[in-house]
Amino acid sequence: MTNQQKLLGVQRFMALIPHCKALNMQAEAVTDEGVLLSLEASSPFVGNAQRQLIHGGVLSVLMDTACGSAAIMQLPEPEVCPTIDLRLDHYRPATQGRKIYCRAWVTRLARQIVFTEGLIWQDEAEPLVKGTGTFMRLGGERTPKGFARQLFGEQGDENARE
Amino acid sequence: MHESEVGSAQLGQRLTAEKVNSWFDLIPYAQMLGVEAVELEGSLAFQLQEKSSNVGNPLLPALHGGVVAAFMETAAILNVMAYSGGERVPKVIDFSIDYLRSARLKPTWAVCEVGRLGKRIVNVSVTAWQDSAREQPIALARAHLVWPLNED
Repeated sequence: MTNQQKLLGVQRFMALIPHCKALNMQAEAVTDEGVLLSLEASSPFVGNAQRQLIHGGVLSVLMDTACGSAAIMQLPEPEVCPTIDLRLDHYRPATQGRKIYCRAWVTRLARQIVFTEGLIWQDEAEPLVKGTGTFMRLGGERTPKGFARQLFGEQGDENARE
Repeated sequence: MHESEVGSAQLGQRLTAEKVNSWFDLIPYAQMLGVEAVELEGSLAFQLQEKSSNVGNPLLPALHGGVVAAFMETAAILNVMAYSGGERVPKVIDFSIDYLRSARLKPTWAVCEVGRLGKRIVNVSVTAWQDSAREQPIALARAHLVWPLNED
């Protein structure tokens, strides 16, 4: 499967998730290194109105989604991967009005567990958040039938058969 | 919060849930999620309303893990504000969450416990549950925040 097909898969995955839609989260790119997501830091996402800073929880949603997407895209075929744990180190606050990016990548794909990391920034030279997410692989049997197809269409079916 | 564990003199007076609920204009995203402060058995607690826009897995349906994190981080922030007087929203230094069970689309509750209030840093643990199953939490979280009264 090409990275372009995977990008479409991440876009479909996020379109299925109501809270990602509520934040208008976008999938920007999928590369061999991982996924790149973004969201517009608009006023409903503020967590400190006095200083117009974005709520850390918005960044948690972005990090969880990016790390989870990176995990799923790294698997031989899509499996549902619930988050086991997530950690965010807030190096600097994100400010309202500027687009926020999150890159996430897999550090280790094990038989039952996927380990991931991520980085959030508004200005690429200044990382705002360092994240770590750990996910559980539910496996093919416990993943709902048609999950691959929902993400990748016909291509997903072919991949699942391989 | 269990004042006895940190020393009530150190933490001072806690403001009421009613007062805490007057601060939500400062935290628009908490309003979007549907967070509310409540009094529960004489302690300050927090409720996340059942809202379909908070769903992360429509098949179950289950809340987005990031929403649960955002709710628990908000609880930690408001808990610190309730003890510091609420003038300023504290900075979060780091936040870590362990997901123990899937969070269904239903009201969710959280309580906080201050592990340590130092001169500058507060350590807060948060427990979240659904239904009446407080002893079966859906998630445990922990945050370090800057005590807002001593911030720069």
